[in-house]
Amino acid sequence: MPTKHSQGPGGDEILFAPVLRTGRGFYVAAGILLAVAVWGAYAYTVQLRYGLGVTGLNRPVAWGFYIVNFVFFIGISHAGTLISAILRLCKAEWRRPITRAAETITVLVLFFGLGSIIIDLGRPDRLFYVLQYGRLQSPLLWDVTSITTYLTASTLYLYLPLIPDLALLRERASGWRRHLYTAISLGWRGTPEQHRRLERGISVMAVIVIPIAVSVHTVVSWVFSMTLQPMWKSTIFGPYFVTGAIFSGIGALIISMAAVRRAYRLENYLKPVHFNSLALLLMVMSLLWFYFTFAEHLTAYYGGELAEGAVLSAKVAGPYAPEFWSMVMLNFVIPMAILANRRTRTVTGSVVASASVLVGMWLERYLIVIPTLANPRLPYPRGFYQATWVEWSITAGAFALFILLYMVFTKLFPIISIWEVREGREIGIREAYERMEGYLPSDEGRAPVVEPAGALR
Amino acid sequence: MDWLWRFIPISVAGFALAFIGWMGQMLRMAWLRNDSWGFTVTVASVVIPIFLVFIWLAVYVIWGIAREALRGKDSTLPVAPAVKTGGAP
Repeated sequence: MPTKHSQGPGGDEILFAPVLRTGRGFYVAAGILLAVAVWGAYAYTVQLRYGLGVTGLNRPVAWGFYIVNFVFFIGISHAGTLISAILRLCKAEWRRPITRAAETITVLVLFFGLGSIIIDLGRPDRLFYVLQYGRLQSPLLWDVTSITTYLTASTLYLYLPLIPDLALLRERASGWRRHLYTAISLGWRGTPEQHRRLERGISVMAVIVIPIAVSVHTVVSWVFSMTLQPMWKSTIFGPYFVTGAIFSGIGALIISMAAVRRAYRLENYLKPVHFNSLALLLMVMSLLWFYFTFAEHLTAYYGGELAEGAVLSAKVAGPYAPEFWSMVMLNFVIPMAILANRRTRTVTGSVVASASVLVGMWLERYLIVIPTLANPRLPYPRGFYQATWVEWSITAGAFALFILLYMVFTKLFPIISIWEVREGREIGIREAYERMEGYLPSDEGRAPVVEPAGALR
Repeated sequence: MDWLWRFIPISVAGFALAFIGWMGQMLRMAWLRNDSWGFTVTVASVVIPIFLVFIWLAVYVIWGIAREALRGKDSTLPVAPAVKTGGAP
């Protein structure tokens, strides 16, 4: 039943505005980010020319910033598809304005995760060896398989709900944009048959993307825990990594939402209630993360195994102590101090806590990778790792390019799902009412529940 | 644009088929070399059905949407009604 919310070009104009108009601020920000990305690309050409010798990688620390970035980026990717899919399946109505922003993070960041591995290879042409001589006995191949599956699923999961919005844009854009939207909107006209197929596709994807997402970070953890290295050989690494991934993913989502809210004046769509809900999720994940971290380190301490003890003491009281205690502060103390208090659990408070979590989670990945390699179980001499300017530059370039691509995405496609927001207005109240009726006990003998005025029959 | 509407589902299905082909290649190599056959079969048996779902998605959903448009392309394209009043996906 089409209504004023669903039909025609009227309504939600502010959601089209970022796509159809671009201000000077965008170009300035894009220029700065592009400059950093170009610098990172230059650093990569230096690495390509002179080899991995220009990095701080050595024996026994064969993995450094690139693998830290890989784990971090793959973790961030859980922001989108997983959060979006879970909220969609739970029919959480407040999800509607945030799903697109989350799914976009996932798709973009996965490319950077994969890119980090290619950079770490030193010689990118060796990637073809994986295709040619891959053996599924290796957890590294499990990683390749699961990340490719996740990337495909996430891209489709981003694309499908985008189709109706592309059709809306097709009617408003001109020039090359009109051609683009006409092409990728697949001639969407909103017929009942098209709706039926789209909804079926989204529902199926929402179901299968969750186990895929969980498997991805579990497999990433197995790259470490399938070895016999001290403090890597752990049975809880799978859930520990997944928890950390969702934790950092929520942080990235909150920051991206706050940025687009401010830049495109979307206060009417991304309301404090959205930030409050995500902030509560962030707080729960902070507690879970602390629980896993405590369990992991207490077990290593109490076991008293020599090699594990060396890594543990290097972390908590040795050369990595500043990073370790900073991590605890950034991932637990600061977020909890901000988010546990209702008065500080504001939009700004959520953003500060999220920024703290992102830095803390990057440190956590660093502390998982480096101290173990620097204190190996085998009788190598202890190592030391210090990233060089090349690694710092490539890392900065990767982050800048990710932010830039995210900004470009917001200029090409609506960052808030317009049709889903409109649908929420149409059927959200009725659905919520019906769900409440479904799970609340019947109230025989009491006055009947008054149906909300806005509910549609 | 007709060719692009066909190209998108075909490319999705093609990619999924290529990935399944790669899995098949690894299965073949594992069999020929008698090398970690069990691992390979286990991983492939999980991954291949997922990529079959992607093919279904390309054919049923994406191709289906495009076919519906191709059927009615003689009529003028209206502004897309974005809302169906049934259940949300």
